[in-house]
Amino acid sequence: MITPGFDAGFLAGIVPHMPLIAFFVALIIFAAYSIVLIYHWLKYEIPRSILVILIPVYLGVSAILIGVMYISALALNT
Amino acid sequence: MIQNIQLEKDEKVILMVRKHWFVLFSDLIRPGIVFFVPFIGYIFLHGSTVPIGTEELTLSLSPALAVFLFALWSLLFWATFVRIWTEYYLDLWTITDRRIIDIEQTSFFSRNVASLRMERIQDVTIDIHGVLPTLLHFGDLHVQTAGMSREFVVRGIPRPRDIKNIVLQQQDRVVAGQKAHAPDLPRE
Repeated sequence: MITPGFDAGFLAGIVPHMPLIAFFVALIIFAAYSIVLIYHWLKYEIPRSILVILIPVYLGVSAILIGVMYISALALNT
Repeated sequence: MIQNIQLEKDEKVILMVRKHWFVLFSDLIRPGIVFFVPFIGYIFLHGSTVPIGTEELTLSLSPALAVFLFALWSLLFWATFVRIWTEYYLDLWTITDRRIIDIEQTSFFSRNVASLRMERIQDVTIDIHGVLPTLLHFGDLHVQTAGMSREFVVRGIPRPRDIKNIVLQQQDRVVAGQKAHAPDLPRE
């Protein structure tokens, strides 16, 4: 049973979920980074002809890597 | 891109230049090499044993943990590569019929826009050092201004000789135009 505070019970409860916690922390940081990146692309008006390729490629590759991370984090989450 | 530059009335853009592709390539190559280091390390070290005192420690990662770490590492470098490309693309040098505008994107939220009027240009020099810049036709362009200690330097620009000629032609045109419109001074 998970009890409040950093006692042994809390740690014992949280340690098995560390892969998923690490995944979500990485996801939040990456999402914030991506927002800043896409903001720059739009603010400084990178041509539409480049954006229509750049945004799907960037988000597509990122989604694949995030998906792989999520599946492996689920496998590690005991 | 040009919408971000405040052009004067009737000002015409002559040329917009980015750094040479090799500059982007050389910026990407270092993180590219670092990216492969853990993969190579994993291939060579996985399953090997390290003697610690009388015991032997086997170096291994569970497949799920290895995949998780490699995906995280790849995501980090993917974001880095895209950031380097963005900084390369947003670094821009614009030559108009009146001035030179230098946009330097040093990092996110760090952008330096400087402009230099043609009539203030005193000297333009190019600097091509090394085998690759000579073969691939890129180098540095230095623009010295009158009355200012500051020097405009554009590094890794393609075809620096042609760009130097364009700048000097524009400068001649601006100076000739000023002389033509200058009022005659009374003679003593």
